[in-house]
Amino acid sequence: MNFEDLQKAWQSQNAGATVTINTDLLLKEVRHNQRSFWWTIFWRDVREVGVAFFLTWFFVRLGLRRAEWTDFLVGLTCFGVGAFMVVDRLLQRRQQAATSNSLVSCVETSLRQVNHQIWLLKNVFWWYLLPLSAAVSISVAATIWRVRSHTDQLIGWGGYVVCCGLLDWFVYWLNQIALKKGLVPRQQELLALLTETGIPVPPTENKNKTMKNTILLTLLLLAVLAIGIILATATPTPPTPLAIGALNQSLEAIRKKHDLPALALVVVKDGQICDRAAVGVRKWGDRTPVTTNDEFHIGSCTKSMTATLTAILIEEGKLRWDTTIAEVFPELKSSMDKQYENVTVDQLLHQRGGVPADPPPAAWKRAWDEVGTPTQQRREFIESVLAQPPAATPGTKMIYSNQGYAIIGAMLEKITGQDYENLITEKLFKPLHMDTAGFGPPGMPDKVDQPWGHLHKLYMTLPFRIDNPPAIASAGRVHCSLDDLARYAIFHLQRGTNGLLKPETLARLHTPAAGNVADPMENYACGWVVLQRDWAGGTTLWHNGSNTMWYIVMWLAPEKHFAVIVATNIAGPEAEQGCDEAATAMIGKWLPN
Amino acid sequence: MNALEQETIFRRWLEVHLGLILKVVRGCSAAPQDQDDLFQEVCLHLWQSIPAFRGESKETTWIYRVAFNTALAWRRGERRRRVGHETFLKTDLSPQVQPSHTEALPEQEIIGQLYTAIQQLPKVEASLALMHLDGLSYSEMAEVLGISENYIGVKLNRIRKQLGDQLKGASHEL
Repeated sequence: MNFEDLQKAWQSQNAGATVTINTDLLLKEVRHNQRSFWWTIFWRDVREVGVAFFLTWFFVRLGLRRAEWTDFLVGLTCFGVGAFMVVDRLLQRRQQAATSNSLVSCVETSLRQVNHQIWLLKNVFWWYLLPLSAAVSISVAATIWRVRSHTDQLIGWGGYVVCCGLLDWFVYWLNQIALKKGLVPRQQELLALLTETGIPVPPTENKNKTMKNTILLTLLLLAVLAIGIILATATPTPPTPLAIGALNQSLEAIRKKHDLPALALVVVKDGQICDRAAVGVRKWGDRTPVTTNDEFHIGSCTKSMTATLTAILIEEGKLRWDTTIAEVFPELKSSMDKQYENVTVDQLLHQRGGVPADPPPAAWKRAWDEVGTPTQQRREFIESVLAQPPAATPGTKMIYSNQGYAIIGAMLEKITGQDYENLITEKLFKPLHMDTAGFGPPGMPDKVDQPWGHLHKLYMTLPFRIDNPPAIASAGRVHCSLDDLARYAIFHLQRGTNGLLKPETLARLHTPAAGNVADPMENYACGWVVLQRDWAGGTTLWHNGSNTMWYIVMWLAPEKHFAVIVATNIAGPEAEQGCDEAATAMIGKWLPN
Repeated sequence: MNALEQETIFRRWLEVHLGLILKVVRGCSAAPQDQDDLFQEVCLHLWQSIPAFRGESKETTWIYRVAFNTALAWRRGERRRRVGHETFLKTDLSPQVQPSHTEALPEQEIIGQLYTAIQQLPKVEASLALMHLDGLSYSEMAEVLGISENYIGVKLNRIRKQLGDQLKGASHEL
């Protein structure tokens, strides 16, 4: 048989004659395949680009919340990587190989695409890993720099370098595996096909150009990295006050010693503010300095204010010292533990109502949800507290409890029909001209117009704008400037008529229920711990306050007409020691012997 | 182009050019399962190519291009997920030679061997062999593959020789 016969036989075969094809089924499959192909590509793009843009959104939002420029840098880098992927996809989509083109053109287009993919994976370090790692490193550097001890800094750096290195290596390894097992064999296959067609094989890449670009890109990124690290590490050092007085200098020394974001104090002598100072920054990582007009969260120093408000209302005849819980809340008699029924206002103010130190867990969780108005939240919260048995027989023992003061707050609201915040503003803050007094964290959210509270987490100092739930507002949610707090202290130091309270009422607020006994905590008056100090010439009124992100301490010495208040925007042992040292220094300065 | 027009063209192509598609499929894959998968793949790409078909080239040239390009990009064992689990091709694609004379059986055997020989050729050469056996002109083959007619001439000489070596005993003077 010669070729022509063979060709004739070949052409006479009817390959399709005995083949049955279900065209409808085929059409259905083809349409399904087209859809699933489109969805596969779409979801791959959404997954990869979507993750980059989600991270951009996340870090920009975090940056806005924390006002940290390093978060914006990470966000911007994520955006850059996402944008790079989008542009690359769009450019590559325009160069898609159409199967209806000639075989050579199809192979050439596929080869260009495969070469591009290989280039992308080979350079994944430069366009993906390095920019992201550099941005994250700057952010981490800025954070680690604020860590207190050098050992912790070293541990932080070591941990970061190991984790980041391992992660980068893993991603790089995955990419190189994909390159080796998928793309390079495909490239070889296409090159073989082109060789078969006799078409000259184009060079796969211009190595010199790639090398030059790589070096330029590296230098650029390293420059950004260097500038970023310099900026980041330079940020935390608080600015030195323009006018450095001796007081500021000594306060700054204490602030530095205890590594506090800010430290502020005010001293009162003979009815006047005689010293005030503020050093450090409002927010860790931000350069804005604190001022002597800045507002601080006063935590449990709110309690004596609630007690004072109660005394004012007692003098107005709205209630009595011996008004009981059951009198104010007769509707709660059925749900309330019987022992609480006869607990008086006086017992609650002296922390002797038997109210437990810890809230019922479910009620506390519910309080954080902040459902309803603050008044409704307080009412719901105290109902839960009163439904549980007391921690001790009422009147027998002092138990320091936020819940007790929450009950007082709710009682005042019920009696007056006004919410606690308005009531105390009208009856106490306005008459004392405490114009900066407010509730919750000071300042506007997302701004550094007032100091921020801080928490230590994982060796880091992080700024936060969070506070106790409104349910316990009357126990510890007030903020105000130290000058306003000084006005409040001056009011408590006055022994004569002051227009707000009779001297005997004020004296009652300063008198512990049990008398002066050995245990200082048994000397709890109405929101004040009464202590004997030689420097005070006898009695002092003391209280501290903290919502775990702030710390403040107040010392009032009525005999000496003296008060010192020291505040910082972080809590913990360092904060307590720093404030105590500053207070001691002021006592030493103003009350020598 | 609306979906109905696309479907009409697709159905007509399948009806008229099924033989051509099956020859390419069989020339590029050996096992029945592979042939079924490749057939589905070629059909998908044919369907996708319809909106771009303007009638500027012949339908056969167009379909050859799509089928070859798909076969070259396709790898053995590569399967698309199917809605149903049925195979599309109900036979194993055994070539059927019209029984016009008594030598029908030996010719059928020769064509079977020819397919086996084509499957063993490099991919571009297999495409050329298939088109050459189908009687396409050099210019048509050049259009499908995008290479010069001279080069096709050189290649075809070599292909004929190679096929001849493999079909010893069945065919002579290829």
